[in-house]
Amino acid sequence: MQSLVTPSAGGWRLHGFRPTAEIEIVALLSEKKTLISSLLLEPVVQLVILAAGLQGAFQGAAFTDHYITWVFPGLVALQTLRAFSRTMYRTVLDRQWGMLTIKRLAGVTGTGYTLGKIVPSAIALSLQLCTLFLLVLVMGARFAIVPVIGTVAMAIIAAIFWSALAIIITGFVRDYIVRDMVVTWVMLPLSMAAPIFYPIETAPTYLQWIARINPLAYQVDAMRNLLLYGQFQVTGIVMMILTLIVLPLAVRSVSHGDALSSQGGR
Amino acid sequence: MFTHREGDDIALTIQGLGKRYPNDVWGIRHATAAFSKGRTVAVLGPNGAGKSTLIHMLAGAIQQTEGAITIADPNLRIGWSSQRTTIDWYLNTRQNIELGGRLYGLDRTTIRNRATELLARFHLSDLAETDVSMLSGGQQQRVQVARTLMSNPDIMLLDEPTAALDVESSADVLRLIRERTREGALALISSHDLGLLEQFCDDVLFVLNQRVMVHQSMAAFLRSVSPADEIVLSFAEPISAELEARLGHLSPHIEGDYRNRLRAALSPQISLADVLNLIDGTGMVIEASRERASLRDVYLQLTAKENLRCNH
Repeated sequence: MQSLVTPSAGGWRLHGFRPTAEIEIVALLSEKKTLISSLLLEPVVQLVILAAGLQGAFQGAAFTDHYITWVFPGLVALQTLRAFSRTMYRTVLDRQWGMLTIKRLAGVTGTGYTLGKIVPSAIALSLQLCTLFLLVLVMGARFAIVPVIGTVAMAIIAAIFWSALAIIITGFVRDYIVRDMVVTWVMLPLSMAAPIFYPIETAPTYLQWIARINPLAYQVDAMRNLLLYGQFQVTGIVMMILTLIVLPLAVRSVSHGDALSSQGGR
Repeated sequence: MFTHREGDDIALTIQGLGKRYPNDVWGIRHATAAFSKGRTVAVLGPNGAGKSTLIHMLAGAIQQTEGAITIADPNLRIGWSSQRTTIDWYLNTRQNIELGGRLYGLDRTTIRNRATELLARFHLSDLAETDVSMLSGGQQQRVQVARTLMSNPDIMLLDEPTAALDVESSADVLRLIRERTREGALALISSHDLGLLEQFCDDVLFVLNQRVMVHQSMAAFLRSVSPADEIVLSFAEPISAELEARLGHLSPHIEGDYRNRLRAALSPQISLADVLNLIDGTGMVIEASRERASLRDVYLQLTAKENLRCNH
């Protein structure tokens, strides 16, 4: 006889990765309007409207002679934040509506579940980055191919970080009102307090302090150094260490404890 | 109370199982039972008795505070259908049902064919590509039960699977579950639809006041309050003294305005034909029936008895 204490207890085995990823891809494709909006509209707004608009304000600035090129790595990092909201929505849904229980009963391990959840975010991010790179090339920016590949890899690592963080937070979210609040309260301040559109050195001291505890700031800096200067800086290492810390915590969050949260609601 | 019969193939055992919620209220305590393969078990009890807590713990949706759950073989597939709608709102009807097969690694052709079969069995074929949020509550519940059956589970944990269903659909769902248990699966079904449970279930797990009160076969449960059946005979004319004397050993109760109806307890050894033979021309029987306590009767009596005991 086998004790059925935690159906999903499977250590670090990847069991259930493939079905979880397949289901998440089907769910991703079911949101065609959201997908088009995130793939096209957001990069276009951020690059062609906001960054292009700010270009005039930073004309002749000491930190760059081509603002669009300078701001671009920050926009790449900004796209990775969508992995947070997407994973948050899907995982809260799984916890609230009992889908996590069903997956655990089917033997899906915490590792398989967590990595499976990340796949669609990585796919969506890759498509977003394709749109962004095409746009920025049209706008006159030029990058070497190796740093571009490195930056895309870094962006995927950043997306893994944000997805894993979202999975951990869903363990404490009891309803979709709190979920929406968390998404708003995390995404907006993080994106505005990171050196995406301005160099951190020129920001007020309090913002510089906030940037020190803002993971997005490290991601922006790591991608900017790699893409613009071909350098892998310490911020890149910090980014990877942060990802390596949150990933096992996310796995543990879905492997242990109650799989069902108290309320329903999408 | 029995937990299992000799020679039964046990699929699932619970030992001293209990769940205490964060507000310090126990959902259920000291639950002990063994469930055999091939049985359909009715989980009975009033609202708040602890049925859903028990099923949630068995499904792993919530962690028990005390006790142990043991399955005979880790490879047994467990299917769970919650009282609450458990659906992936981003997927359509077919995709939700297919999800049950995908998670268990069934091949694509099997998933497709089985989903098509279940869509038809649950009268959902026309809604296969429809967004699940567009379905009625009953249709969503059918999707959920169909998904549970998709992987051919060995243990089915079904909490109110017929709550939002019409009469025909409820019977269809239970028939399908029964087919699966006849193939060797175990089903635990919590429901307030006592008529259907009586018709389709083999055993009863009676939960009351956060305790498992009874776990026994349906037949034994039905005889637990009144061990004998009841015979009811209606006569064309008032019952004569001679007839009353002939049936005296049955301690009959005469009723009706014209003293033309007789009611008596009947042990399993005496058939209705035996009684009719005893009458033998001393009265003209116009209606005869043998009645036994229904699941509803027993349930109500046991609940009332236990509540009375608790109040004293």
